[in-house]
Amino acid sequence: MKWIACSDRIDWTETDLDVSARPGWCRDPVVPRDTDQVGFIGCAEDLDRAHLERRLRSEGFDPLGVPVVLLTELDRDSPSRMAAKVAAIRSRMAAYTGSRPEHLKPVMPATLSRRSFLTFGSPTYQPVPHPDDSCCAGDGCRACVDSCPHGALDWSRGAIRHDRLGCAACGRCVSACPSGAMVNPAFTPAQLYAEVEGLASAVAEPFGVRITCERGPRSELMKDWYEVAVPCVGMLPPHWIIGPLLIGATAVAVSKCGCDAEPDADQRAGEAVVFARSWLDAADIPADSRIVDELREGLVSALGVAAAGNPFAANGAVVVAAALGDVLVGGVRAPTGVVTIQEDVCTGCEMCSTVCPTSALRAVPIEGRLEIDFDPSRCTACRQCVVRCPEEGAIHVLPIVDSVEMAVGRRTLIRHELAECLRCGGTVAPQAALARIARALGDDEKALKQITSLCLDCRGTMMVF
Amino acid sequence: MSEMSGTLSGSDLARIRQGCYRVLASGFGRPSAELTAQIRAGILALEGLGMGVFSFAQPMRRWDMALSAASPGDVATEYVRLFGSGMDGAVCVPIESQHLGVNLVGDAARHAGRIEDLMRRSGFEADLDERPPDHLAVELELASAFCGAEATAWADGGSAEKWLEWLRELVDVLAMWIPGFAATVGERDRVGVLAALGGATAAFVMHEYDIVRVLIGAAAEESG
Repeated sequence: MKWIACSDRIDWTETDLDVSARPGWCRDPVVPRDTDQVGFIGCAEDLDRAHLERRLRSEGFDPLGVPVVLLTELDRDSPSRMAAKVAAIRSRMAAYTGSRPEHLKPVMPATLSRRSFLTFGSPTYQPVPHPDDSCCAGDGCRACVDSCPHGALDWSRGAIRHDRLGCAACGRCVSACPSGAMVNPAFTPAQLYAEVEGLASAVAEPFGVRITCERGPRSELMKDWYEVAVPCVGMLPPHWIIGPLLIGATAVAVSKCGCDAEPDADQRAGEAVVFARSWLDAADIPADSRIVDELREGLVSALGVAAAGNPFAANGAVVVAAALGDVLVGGVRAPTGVVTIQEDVCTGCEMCSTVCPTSALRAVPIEGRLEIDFDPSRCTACRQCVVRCPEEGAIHVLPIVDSVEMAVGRRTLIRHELAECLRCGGTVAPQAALARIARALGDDEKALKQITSLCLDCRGTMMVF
Repeated sequence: MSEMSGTLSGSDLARIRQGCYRVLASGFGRPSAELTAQIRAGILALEGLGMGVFSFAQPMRRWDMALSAASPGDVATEYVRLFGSGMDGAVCVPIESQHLGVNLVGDAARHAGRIEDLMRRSGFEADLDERPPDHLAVELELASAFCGAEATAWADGGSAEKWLEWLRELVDVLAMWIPGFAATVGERDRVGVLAALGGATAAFVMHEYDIVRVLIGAAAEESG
């Protein structure tokens, strides 16, 4: 990748970068036409990002695919730190997979001109998450809708609808989606993984990662610490905080939100940190030296445990659980769960397995029975089964990381006997569901007999003929 | 538009959008060498108006490149295969009721009626030839007409609100089916031109879905 850098105060030859130094470039960015792999290093005070974005677009570049690094983000006194930061960003950009029109929210501030006619700032685009229909679980799962603090997501006619103008791109839906269907092209779990991995491969010494809000103010970093930005720290689940430790970082810190756009961000981040520490402690890893409140010098050596997968992905909690070994730790922010079903309340309607976005719950009809089975290693504790269950108290999710349960794998939670159709021998419904219907119908024996003794097809046939 | 100052007037913005709708509508006409030349000239003119700074510029350019690379004869064959006869089961006609309808008989009338009603209320009349009112080309032409009226309203210092509201009515429904339609065309097109046209239409319509709301808000603020 070719870099174009602004400042004449840095000797770029000392870095291991293919840099074309163009002092003053920030004030009037000229985008080269002869390369499709370009990155920019600019001055915070001079670089007009909106202007650069327009220029890039005009020249046929996808601005989201072009890395821009501010000099303030680089430690100018240390070529090796500078190279590591640039390597991480390059690695992140390599994981960028493009955007679709649905991901770009136009921002066009309106102003009144001298003649009182409306004038608009030419557009810039804020990348926002949007559900990818090809992997959205659909079928009633509304984990993203439930997680959105801005009411920008809605479920209508069997599909997730997204109000881009109302979206603040806080990223909570991205981390809440159990199937990884919410995609913000400017920030994907794959990019986050690539960035930390890029740091790990570029830094020889033990290093720490400070996870910070991309919109919040940046503060000074200590030697051996690097910053990794997420849309908002309020989106962090506990396993994302542990994640960097399993990719090569030796310590993690989570910065305060600072942007004030999400009032409860710090509280949520704090809860996630508390749970992540409990998880490490339960795995006999001293959490205090790994997840720190204040940046510190003299970092301990690497954990010696690696993730066999992406800890930031939709199934990242399971990846982290597999890496950290036998633990049993519970709490409201647990990223996995164990489901139990109350036998005397469940009617076998299959709503839970229908809405389960990860197929952790599955309804299996076997020889006159309906079994609902559960795989703890797929459960993300999203509670969609609890919220959508029509029978109050029939299903519970215990938010807990239980590696023993995960190792056991899929097991049957409940078996329902299925009633047979008196006419064709097919399936009518689970006996428990019919009993529930009988309670609802009360004394209407005629209707009850027809509903409970004939399957849907036979009932329809009888009505027609 | 002034790229350096980074501003554009409401009227200029409406003219660019009007042109995009017009060019895209032409794309859904029967392909010929003459039409290809007209479309490419249209895209070039839009570049001159400053289309480049918008997110839909890149898909429009991809369409332009696909047009320049393909022979009009091949495109015409593919046009018939996808939008006409439906050979190989590849039919994907650019007609709204075919994509949003459940009961096709009733829905065709309902969707056509909606467009005709919109035309009547806004004072436009279509020369429909063989196309139904809910044909995408007709809808895009109607949207283009709304943008033209909107541009005039901005330029005269009047309120463009009513045109924008009508446009929103139209675009809200387009945004429901165009992305899916474009994806299907993208999968089935063997030449690439109609796939690129679908991509450009989807990008532009999704952009319009947001920008019309932004403009309505700005217009309401100005008049209020």
